[in-house]
Amino acid sequence: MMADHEHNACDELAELVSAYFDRQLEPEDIRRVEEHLAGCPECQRKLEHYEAIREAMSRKVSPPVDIADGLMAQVERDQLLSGLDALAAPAPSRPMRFVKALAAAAILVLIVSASVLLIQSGAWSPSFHRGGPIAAQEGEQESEARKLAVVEERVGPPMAAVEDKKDSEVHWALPADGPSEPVPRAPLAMGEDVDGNGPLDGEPIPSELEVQDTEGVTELMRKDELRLGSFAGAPTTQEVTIGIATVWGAVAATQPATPVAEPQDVSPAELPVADRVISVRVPDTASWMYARDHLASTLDGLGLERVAPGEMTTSGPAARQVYALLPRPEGLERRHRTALLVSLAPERLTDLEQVMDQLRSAGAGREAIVSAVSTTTYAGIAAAPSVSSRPALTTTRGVEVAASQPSDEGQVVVLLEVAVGSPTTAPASGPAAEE
Amino acid sequence: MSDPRDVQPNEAELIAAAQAGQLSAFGSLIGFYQDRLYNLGYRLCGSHDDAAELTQETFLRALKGIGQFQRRSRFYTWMVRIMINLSRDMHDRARRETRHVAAQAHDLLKHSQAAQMARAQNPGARLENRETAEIIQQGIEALDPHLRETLVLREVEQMSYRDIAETLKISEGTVKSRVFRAREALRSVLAPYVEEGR
Repeated sequence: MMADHEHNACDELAELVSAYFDRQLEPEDIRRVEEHLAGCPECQRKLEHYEAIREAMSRKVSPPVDIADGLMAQVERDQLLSGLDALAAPAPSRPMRFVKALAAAAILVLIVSASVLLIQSGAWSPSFHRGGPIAAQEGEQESEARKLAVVEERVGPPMAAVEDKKDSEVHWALPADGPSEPVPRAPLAMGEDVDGNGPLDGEPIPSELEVQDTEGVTELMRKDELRLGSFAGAPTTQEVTIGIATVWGAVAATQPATPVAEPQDVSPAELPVADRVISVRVPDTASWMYARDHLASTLDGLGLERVAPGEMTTSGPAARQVYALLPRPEGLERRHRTALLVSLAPERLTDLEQVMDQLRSAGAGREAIVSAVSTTTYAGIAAAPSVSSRPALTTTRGVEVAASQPSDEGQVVVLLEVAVGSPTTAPASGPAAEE
Repeated sequence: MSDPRDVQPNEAELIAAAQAGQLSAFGSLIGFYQDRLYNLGYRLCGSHDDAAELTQETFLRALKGIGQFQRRSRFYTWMVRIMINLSRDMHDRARRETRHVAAQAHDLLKHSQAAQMARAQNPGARLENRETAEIIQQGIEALDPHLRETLVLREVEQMSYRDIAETLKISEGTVKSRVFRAREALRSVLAPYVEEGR
């Protein structure tokens, strides 16, 4: 039994014993505590308990997933979301620089999200579907269309505005009438004004494919402009069009009917073309992001590999030229266009159908429709001297993407394009309008 | 990351780049400290789900605030401070919404009683280390948040009293007192389990 004075000493030194255990005492206190400990089994046991507590708390636990990685992907996605949000906002007076940055965000490709697939051009002939409640939300749609038109007026053509034009120089008109019946049309010739946003400033088809930093993109990353968040607008409907085109890769291997010449022997204008643009309507102001994200998650689910997600931009003259290779999405009057490079094995090309089906069904689940489908495949771009001669793309951050020799490795690198704009295809009557 | 004092080699450059708007630099920063911060979060909140949420939210706050980071403290310490504040919010929320401390205390009491009964039936039994760890973790969760965060910084982060004081904006004396009180609280939880084994 401990004497009272010993208990008193224990109480008096209690905190010091704890601090002694932590080696946080001054020398004179250390001496006091050690003298006490030498004759006090109770306090010695206390130290043993402290040690047990320390040992238990020192056991490391690790995160089950890569939180940082997932977060950064989400942040980049949100950056684009917020960028478009700001663009869609009714006449906000934002600093010019921010506007430009947002323009870059809008066109910056789906940098962020997705991944893709591709196409077997022989198996897919251009087809068109429509249906669903196109006209049901016409008012909202028009509103959204106007909003988008405003956006584009401020931003300019996806490729051109960021670098070449001032906001005030860009003028586009809303469709005067309601959307019209979609009309299939032949793929545009290479170099044609593919997106209707202007003749690409008269620039010729690329002699080189090179994506480099732009002022707008750089600014996008400025911390004071880094905004998180998503669309906060009232629910509306807008058209989402996703066009998919192979940029280069081993697609040719799946298309035996399309001979692939030596790179130096093929010009873009000679490349085979097919068309496929999916348009999905979703009742959400962030619909195209939704579609994009859905596509991304779907592709992830399929295990398709992305090429440096988040590291690809399509701004700049070279990217503009890439866009010149893409077909004009049917059914959209004006749009934002973005693109994403992904890589996949040729045998995964068949997953494209699955992806598209899922996209459609997802749209249906949201009372959305697939209003038009066409496909464009530039399977032979891999053989184009302008592309194949480049070992890699240089992104805004100096990161090389698509540097692996896709053809040699049997990987297909695909450019996914997402375009957003006001629909021009909704008929005044018919099944779509009745729904 | 075995040594909690590890610092990313090129941290200063990464911070500068992140402050200049380079997301990838920020990604590198948080990637380096992720495991460590998650571990801290787990000790602060007691569950993997909450730890993941806490870690992610801490990263997000850090991202939003990186421009204001003055480098008066280490980047990691700065994130720790963010996490501590978030964990307080989380604790408050949990207390409002679900299980509160009284319920946890009740559980601990039941544990204690069960341990005493077990001890009575099998006086020679000693707890496995794993069981000890679980009991202690439950005890940590039941601690007053101020005691908990102070002890966690000491035992998990191995911070000095001075660093803890700086991190929590309290005096070193308060740190010493809180660490002691936290340990004694845990000892009272642990005692029924370990006495017989000694």
